[in-house]
Amino acid sequence: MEAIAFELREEYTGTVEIDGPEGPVETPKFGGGVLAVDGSDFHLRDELDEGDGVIVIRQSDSVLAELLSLQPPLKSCAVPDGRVPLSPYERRSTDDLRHFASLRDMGTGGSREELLERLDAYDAANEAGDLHARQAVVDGDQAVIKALAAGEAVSDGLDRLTKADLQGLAAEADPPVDLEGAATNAEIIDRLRAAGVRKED
Amino acid sequence: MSLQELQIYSLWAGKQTAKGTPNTAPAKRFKQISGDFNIPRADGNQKYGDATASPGNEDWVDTLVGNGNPGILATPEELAWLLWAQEGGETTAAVTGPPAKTKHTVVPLPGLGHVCTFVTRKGSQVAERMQHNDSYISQSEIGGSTGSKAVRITPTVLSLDPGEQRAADPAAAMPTKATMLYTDGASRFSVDGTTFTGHSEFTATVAKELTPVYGDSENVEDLAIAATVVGIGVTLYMNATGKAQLYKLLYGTPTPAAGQKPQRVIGPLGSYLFDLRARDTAGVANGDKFVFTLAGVKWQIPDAPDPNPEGGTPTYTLQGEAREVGSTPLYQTDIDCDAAAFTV
Repeated sequence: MEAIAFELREEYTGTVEIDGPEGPVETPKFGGGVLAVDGSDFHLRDELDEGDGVIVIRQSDSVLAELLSLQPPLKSCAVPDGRVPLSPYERRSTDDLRHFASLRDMGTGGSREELLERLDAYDAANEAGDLHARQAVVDGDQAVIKALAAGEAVSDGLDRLTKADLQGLAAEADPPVDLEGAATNAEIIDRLRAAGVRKED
Repeated sequence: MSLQELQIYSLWAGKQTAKGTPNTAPAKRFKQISGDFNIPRADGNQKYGDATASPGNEDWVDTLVGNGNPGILATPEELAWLLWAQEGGETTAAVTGPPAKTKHTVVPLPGLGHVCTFVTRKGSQVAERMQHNDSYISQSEIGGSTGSKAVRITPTVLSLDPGEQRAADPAAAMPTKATMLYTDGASRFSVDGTTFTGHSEFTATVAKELTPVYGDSENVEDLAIAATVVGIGVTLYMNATGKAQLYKLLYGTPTPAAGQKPQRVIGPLGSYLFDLRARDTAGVANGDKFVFTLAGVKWQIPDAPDPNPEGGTPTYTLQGEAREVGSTPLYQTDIDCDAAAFTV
């Protein structure tokens, strides 16, 4: 997913020495702050500490993005390699998550973690413009949900089909896919992918 | 029978963890000087003909939403808390001092702000204790003057779940610090970059203008937010500096030449700033500070003092509205005090 990142401006990083009741103590220059986001709290100090000084959020998380961009001590920065952005659903109540799932025609049952995974997967598919993957999420395809929620590319579903199903897909495609010389599943899948055929097709 | 003692009262507030989850032990208590919380219920009615001279009536509850406008003295920590609650955010930074303090910086933010519970108590023999849940601060008016030196803040509070009865007062104690005074800003009131000692009053208003909207219930469905508007009003004496300021706005120059006429174009934006620095009983600055900054202000042309056969004090009021200047926030408050970043 597209991500953006924020870090402290130079003048707010590090520590300063202040006079404490028992002598001088080192204290962080930046003390944090609690922001109200979508009816929940966002703790700036905690999030910076957990993210090694960088808060990474989804570009589509516009409410939080705007709030962070307006904080004088913060500035935009590069997204560290491999960082998974914070999910905008994490800060929502479980009731909210069920409501969002309902709005997306997905199952509203399951644990909070399952709901988070489904919603994150749905957004990932949407952002990628992959309507097939999105439908797979709505249909509860666990392999697709888990892959998308983890930020991985999803399979087109062909590698989960039997040889007979693959051959059936090739025959039903318009125009039919020529499988001459393709004996193994992998060879058939290569032909189908070359022809743009997917499991749902 | 005892009558309620209106002089016995107090006010508390605390942030809720979420809307619908009241804070039953609010941690902030205020020096309240005026105002109250009200629970106005609006009822609806439809008349219908029943073949009599007096039509029948169908009545229903239309809306029930609480509101409050408590005048509160500006003790440093409580002032910072109210501004944080209104905007729904702050950032804090260490101030080395000495004495060491924490700087709480608030700028305008989108959103409703933090959802809070306000608790009111009135009377002793006839005690009335209520908590007003799911409250948001839609506006704050901060003011001080040479005539009333204790700086005060008056938040306009909207409670979506008002008037819940309480059995006891919250435990939070009264603020121990003195209120910030108007005179704590002596020689640090600045209009358009010029220091005005002949500055006798200021009133700053930060308004989000939250409007309740209703769905399928008499309870509020949500709150609509208008654009943040920040107004400033200051009263200046008509002395040489005051005249120069008035002329600068009217003529575009503090020293108009003979024959010069009022300008017919909008001049550059002005600015406004005050910097209150609290002092201890020995008159020494104690590190508590309140800085209010408007980087851009569109001033209205003020009305010059009227002549008066009895004489009198020549003052005029300068009214302005904050405007953004580049990426500088519409307004900024910086309060140095002893509280760490607020969480509750």
